Amino acid sequence: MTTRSLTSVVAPAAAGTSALLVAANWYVRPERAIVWAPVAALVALMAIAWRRAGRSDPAGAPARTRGGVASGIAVAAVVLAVSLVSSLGRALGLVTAADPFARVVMAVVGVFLAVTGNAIPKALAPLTSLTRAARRQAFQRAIGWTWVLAGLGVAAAALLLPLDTATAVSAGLLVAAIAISAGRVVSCRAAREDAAGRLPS
Amino acid sequence: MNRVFKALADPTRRRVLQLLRARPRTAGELADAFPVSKPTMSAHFAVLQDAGLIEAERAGRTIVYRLKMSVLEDALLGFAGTLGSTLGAAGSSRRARRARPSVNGEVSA
Repeated sequence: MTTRSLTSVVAPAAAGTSALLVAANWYVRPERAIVWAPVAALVALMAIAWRRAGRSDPAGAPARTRGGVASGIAVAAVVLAVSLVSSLGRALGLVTAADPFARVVMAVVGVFLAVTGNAIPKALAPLTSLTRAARRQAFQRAIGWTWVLAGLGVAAAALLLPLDTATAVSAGLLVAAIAISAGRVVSCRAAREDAAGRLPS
Repeated sequence: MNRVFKALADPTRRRVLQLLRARPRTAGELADAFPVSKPTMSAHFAVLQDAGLIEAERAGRTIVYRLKMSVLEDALLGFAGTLGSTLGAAGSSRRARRARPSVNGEVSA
């Protein structure tokens, strides 16, 4: 099953489940309508955005961008559905203090980061020069590996470590991944300016 | 995914991908790096392109090949390379052992 066909199943299923869960939460705790109304609006917005992303428009965004939007919506809908299940469980007294849903959300975010990082080296820009293409390739591979490892680390920490430790480890991994990415951007930019400033031999 | 495994199964194609890891290269550069005919190399390029591991772009009169591998495919390439060299070494030592003359001077088949 391809990522696109998986997204086309997961996104509407998660958005539909979220809509049902918002209604259930609202029914169980009507005094918190001020919270549920914006969440319901968010689910509606997600559904509209997913419909628009799925529509092919020759004058609109390219298919890859639309695919990225659709997969982003799918992940957001899954995270929202898990949070709403957690909220409903707590309201019904089914979930005690230890929150297993926080782990699931963290793991989903980790997997999303890993999947996104995995695809980074595949996105090619039009070829202008071999030197520039080589630099871009090295940059994309480094960023891709960084985010795949960070995402897998976050997912593993969420599933294996105690929740407090997992949160700290995940935060550390994300900060490290952001720092490495920023460092690579700066060094790549410096190399480009260096090449541009060099006199032709 | 089957196409990716098929593409990575061949040592020449793995070597092409390893060369492209360093930088994009022209078809001529890549062909010169291997002791095989250009049509054979073209067939290898076609398999790699079919698997979505490389992309060809025409720049003037030359064709430039560049890597189009995801991180997972990159990791698979590393794994296939390690496994391939280990199995290759084991196979060649087995062949050498078979070819070694026995006590009475005969070479076993």
